[in-house]
Amino acid sequence: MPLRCLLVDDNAAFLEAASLLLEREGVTVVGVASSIAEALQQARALRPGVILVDIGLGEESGFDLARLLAEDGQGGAGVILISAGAEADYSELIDESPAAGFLAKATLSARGISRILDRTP
Amino acid sequence: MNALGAGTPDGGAGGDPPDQARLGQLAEEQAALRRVATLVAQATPPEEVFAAVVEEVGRLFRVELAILFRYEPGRTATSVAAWGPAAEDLPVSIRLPLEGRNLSTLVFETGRPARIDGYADSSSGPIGAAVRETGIRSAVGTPVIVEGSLWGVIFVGSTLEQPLPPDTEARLASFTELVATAVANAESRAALARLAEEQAAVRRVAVLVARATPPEQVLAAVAEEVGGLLAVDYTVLIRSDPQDMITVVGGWAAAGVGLPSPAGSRFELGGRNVSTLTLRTGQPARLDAYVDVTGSIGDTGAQGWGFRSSVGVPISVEGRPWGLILVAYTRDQQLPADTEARLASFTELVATAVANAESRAALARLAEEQAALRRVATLVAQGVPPVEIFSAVSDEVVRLFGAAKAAVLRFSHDGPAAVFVGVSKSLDLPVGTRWGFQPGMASAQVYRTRRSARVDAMDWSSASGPVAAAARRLGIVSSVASPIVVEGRLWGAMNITSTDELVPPGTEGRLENFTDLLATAIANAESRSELAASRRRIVAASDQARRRIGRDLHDGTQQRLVSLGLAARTAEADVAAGRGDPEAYLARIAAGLADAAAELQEFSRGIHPAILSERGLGPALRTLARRSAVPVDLEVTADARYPEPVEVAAYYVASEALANAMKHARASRIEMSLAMRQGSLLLSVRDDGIGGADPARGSGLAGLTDRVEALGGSIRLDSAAEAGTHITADLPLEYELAKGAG
Repeated sequence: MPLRCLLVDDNAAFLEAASLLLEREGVTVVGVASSIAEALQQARALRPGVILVDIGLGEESGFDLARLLAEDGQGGAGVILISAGAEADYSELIDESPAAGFLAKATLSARGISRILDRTP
Repeated sequence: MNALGAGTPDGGAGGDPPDQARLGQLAEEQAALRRVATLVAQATPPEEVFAAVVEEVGRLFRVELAILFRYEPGRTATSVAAWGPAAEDLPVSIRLPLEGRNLSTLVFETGRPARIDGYADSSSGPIGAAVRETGIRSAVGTPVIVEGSLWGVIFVGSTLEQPLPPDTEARLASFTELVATAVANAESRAALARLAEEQAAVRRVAVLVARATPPEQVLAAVAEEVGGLLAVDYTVLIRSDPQDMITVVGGWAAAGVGLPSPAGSRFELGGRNVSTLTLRTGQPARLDAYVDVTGSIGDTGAQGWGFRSSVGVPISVEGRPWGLILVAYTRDQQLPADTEARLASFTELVATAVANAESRAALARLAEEQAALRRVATLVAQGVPPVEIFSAVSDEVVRLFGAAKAAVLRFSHDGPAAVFVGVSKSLDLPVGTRWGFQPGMASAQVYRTRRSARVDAMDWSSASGPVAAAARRLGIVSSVASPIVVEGRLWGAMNITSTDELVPPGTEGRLENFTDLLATAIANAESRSELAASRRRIVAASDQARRRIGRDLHDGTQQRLVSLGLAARTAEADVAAGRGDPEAYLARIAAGLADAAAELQEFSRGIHPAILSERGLGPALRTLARRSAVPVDLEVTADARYPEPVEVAAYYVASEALANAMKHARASRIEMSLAMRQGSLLLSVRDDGIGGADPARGSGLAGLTDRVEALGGSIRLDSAAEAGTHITADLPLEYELAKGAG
């Protein structure tokens, strides 16, 4: 069963490019969202297996979303933070976050997602 | 000379023929007169001449008594010489009143020769009694007239029963003339000697004055010289002070007697006494009878000092009444009639000494004032915080003006009041104390008039309110305040108060030298804090710009490139799998990369346009104009290279002005020019838009103002509603970067 993915990013071009790539790599992008409210709603409705959350959501913060998703009992869905920046730029915040891990947008791939989800208990 | 043939009633001795006897008598008389005349011609002291005259006269007239009396002031006479067996019982040098019937009194009253025969029965008064005691029966007196004035009387008296011969008066007259000549000569010699003595004394004092001897020493010297010269018992120099007070400033007492009231003693004017009379009338005054004096000075003079006769002469310094010089006798005598006149020659000297001392004191004060101003100016130049300067200045002016207290007040405009921002150590009031303006505060007048003001106790002694009450309690008699005007604004005032004496006239002007310095200190501090604020704004603007650049790069170009990367990998996957439409992807990727490149180009131009650093301001402005959406008429008459900060500032002002015209002004046309004027680069951007631009809004222009001002330039914005917007920037080429203050 293919991995069901929710993409959360405020950049439409990225949502499109990422969806196309992940689909090619065998991930089903069940939905996209570009704000915290939209993401929480989609997550509840779609029950995705993984949620990719951009750290910078315009005026909102991806870290906040990750925390809200955890509080919202989306335990089943692994939350992975993504950013155009480097992991090292955010490492402390990522460590504190309930998210399962971090992926750089430039190297986003199905394999990268699986690797993070697999090492998550 | 006697006429020959004047008879002698007692006849000759030993039966000589009468003319033989007369001739002998005449020869004797001529010899006596010649002897006396010789003494007079030899400038023998008058006392010796007097003694010789009474002896010659006594022997010549063969009488038992010959006396010379000198008339004294107050209807008295003193016997200055006496001869004869009867004289032994007569006291010499005793001053006796001219009363009753006797020769001295008769001659004094008539000014003519007089005779009393039968002295025992027809004389009275103290002199008459004294002479009667000697047993004189017949006496003749002739007046001694010196230069037209009755000087004294010479009289001869016989104890014989028969009266003195009738020609006695006439013969005696020859001797009185000689006595008069001797007295006149002696007096003129004495006057000369006294004049010389006086001149010497004046010269000695003048030397002291010329040597800039401290005034108290000069005054002491004057007191001593005058005391010695006039042979008085006390000399006192007295200064008149405000509010009807006087101060003893110097004095002298005859050997061994100290001044009962030393220099510095103060008295209140009033009552009947010489000091009060002299100062009130501005004329010399004299009191010879110390029985009816009143007032604190009078009591002190009469009881403390034992004055019996005193004279005061006023002293004026440069036309102003200064005080008086007073001399007094404690002996039971009256000061000579010429005392006033003789004192007068010293008053001028005292006046000169005081005037010199005052002008030296004024110079010293000026020097002191300059030193104080220099100390304050140094504090100002060192950028010491005004709060510290305020208290330092307060202490300086207290010291300088001899004021009791001083304070720097800042005017508060929300409900007129004065806030104490600096106080002298002598003012026990915490900094920050706020006083509402009240009648009687000099600072309240300054607040109203913007000019220096003075309030003296007499102006408001009847005022009510807490300030007046506090001032009365503290004994404040005078208060002066000067405005502190900082760059045209009335900022506050400096206030001084005195408790002993009135603040001297002219203090206002001197205080203003200090308030000017304070204004400079305040202006400096204000411009320093304005500079610091401008620096903070520049730093904040720069931080903001960096943040914006970071965000724009991250959100824009980076995201675009990331997405393009993902698209490339999608295309790669499609190629590998041999499916989809990789060519379409590649075309989109290529277009995306071109957009990203253009975006970066725009971006870097925004950060710093390459053409500005490569080619200069003129070409950079032309590029801006070309790229503007609103047509721009550009005129560049200053097309050279300028210091980089100037070029950058001008470029950003132009760029911001164009952006504003485009975004907000709804302009259809823009005129932009760049020219040189008086060493400054002048940029002007004018649009035909709606105007009404608010300089306070739009941080873009505010940030640029800081940048331009940091270069010593200025920006001006004219943007009346409906009249377009005109922005000019004036950038001096010889700019000096703002240096760190403090």
